[in-house]
Amino acid sequence: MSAERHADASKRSHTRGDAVLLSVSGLSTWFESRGRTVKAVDGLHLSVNEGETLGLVGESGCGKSATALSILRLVSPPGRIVSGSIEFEGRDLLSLSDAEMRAVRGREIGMVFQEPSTALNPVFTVGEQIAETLRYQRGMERSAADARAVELLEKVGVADPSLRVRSYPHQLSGGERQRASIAMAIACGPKLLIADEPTTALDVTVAAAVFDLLGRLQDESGLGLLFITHDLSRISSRADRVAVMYGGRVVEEARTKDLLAAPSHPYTIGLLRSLPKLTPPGERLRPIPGRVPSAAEWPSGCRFRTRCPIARAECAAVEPPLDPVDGVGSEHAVACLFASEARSL
Amino acid sequence: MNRDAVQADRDFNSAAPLVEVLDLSKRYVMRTGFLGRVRGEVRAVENVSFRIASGETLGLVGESGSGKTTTGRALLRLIEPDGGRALYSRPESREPVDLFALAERDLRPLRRELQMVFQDPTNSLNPRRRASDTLSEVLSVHGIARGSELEDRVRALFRQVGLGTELLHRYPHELSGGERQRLGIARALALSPRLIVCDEAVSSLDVSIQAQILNLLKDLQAELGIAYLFIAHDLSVVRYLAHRIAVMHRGAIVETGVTEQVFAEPAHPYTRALLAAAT
Repeated sequence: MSAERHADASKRSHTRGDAVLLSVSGLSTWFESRGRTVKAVDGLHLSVNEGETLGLVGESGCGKSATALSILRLVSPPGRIVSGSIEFEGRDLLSLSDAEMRAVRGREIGMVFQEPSTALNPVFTVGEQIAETLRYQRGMERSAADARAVELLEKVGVADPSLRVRSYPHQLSGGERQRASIAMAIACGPKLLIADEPTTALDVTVAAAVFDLLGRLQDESGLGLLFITHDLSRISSRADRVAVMYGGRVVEEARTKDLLAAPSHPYTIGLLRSLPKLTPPGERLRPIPGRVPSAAEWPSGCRFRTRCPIARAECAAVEPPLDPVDGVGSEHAVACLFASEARSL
Repeated sequence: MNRDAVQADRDFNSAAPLVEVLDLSKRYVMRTGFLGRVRGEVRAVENVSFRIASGETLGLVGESGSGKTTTGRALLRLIEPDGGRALYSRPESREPVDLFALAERDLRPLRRELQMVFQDPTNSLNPRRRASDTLSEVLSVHGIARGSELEDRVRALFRQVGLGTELLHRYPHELSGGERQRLGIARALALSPRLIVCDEAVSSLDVSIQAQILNLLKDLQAELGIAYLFIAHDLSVVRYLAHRIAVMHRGAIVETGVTEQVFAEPAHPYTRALLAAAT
């Protein structure tokens, strides 16, 4: 099954442009509270190409959701974007006015969240909400927008769309609600969809269907997808590339098959060995020791060093840059001073 | 079936079961409006039967609403079953006792042998009680230890679940998710149980912490011979821990068997759909 999906991902790659759609560099988003500075995102680099899926993987507190909110400029006080640049199709999103940014959100970048109920307004029908997006963002007439809402629900695989369009969010199942929120996110034909744990709250069979839906939408419209998840094993059969986050940064980035075949950061290696799915039956899991430090007190140098089996004195002194693994031009990058050693762990 | 699986099947099926549940049923009555008229009933669990041997893990899998949590709670009589029997064999007594037929007063002494670990330890720990007090309370209420022996027991439990003694005087909110779950496990272990019902016990934990807890549960079982009813929606987690699994769908067990065999040759269409979706 997973082999088939790998094949699907590579099939898709020939329709994928190599043009960079989104490029984030040196992004830092901090939250000030009670005299402490929580560095949720701190020096993050990532990029998403047209039509590709980038899986952004990490555990709680690594800054993956703060990254999504930063890209959409939805960080609210006490949080703020301290530095960095976010370029979308060559435009710097951080220099846009609020009005220009509102036009980008929804029209050019769509969003899907873990809990669709938070994205949907409980007192309006799903049809009204999709139509409102179209009227506000696209200036469509009411009747045209209403008709388009039905088409969109059909497109995302909601059964009986002309009936369901009049349903309130609570009248839909969890899976249907997520489909409806996807319909809303793609209503204006965005080029990039940011999906933050979109399948985590769903049952496995429903989650698989939503995954398939996102893949189909991508095939049809060449959508770039930034897929944020804690579950490396789920995304591994669906993403073209994966970026692994730890401590507010990307610590490793590679084509999915390269990451799985030759993980090079000790954290990535530890994560893979923690997954029952990737551990052969009868073999013991080898978890990462300890716990993630608080974002208010990252260790100096490499932030993983306090849990790392190969850490040395240098690791405390130097913040390892995200460098290509096999020389310049490699798509596989890792932020570890001793990556070559890590690979033989 | 590989050799380990055959062995597991033989081991656990030949042994007299620790618990044998027969035809467990639980219905919920739906009431409506101010007068609370009965509108209908939901059959949460219907005629569910399974057995668990000493030292065995039975994985109970299924999607939300399949009845797996109801099954686990009814087994421990945290909710009252409407029908069925749960024959529990104790080495102390010749005949098994039916947990469902016992009066609450007669059930109480058995409760310490049948423990539960919940999904979210935050909700099952008293927020105003320090970690050490959570354990010493359980130990003293059941008359297991007192005085200096009590303190030794608490420290031993901390060590057993891999909690540093520097955490003894922390409140639950001062612990990480993984540490809280270790404390929840320590509390269950305090009474030397024979069976622990783990209801989504690792589901809300991060991957790296989840792996630590899974290994802990495995080690404790090897050391103490505890049986687990391990309820989870994540098939890979169940596969790692369970000797046998039972698949629930709409309140019934649709398939049961040795774990590796069910994964290799799922017989029921629902099991096949579940496995396909999980990859």
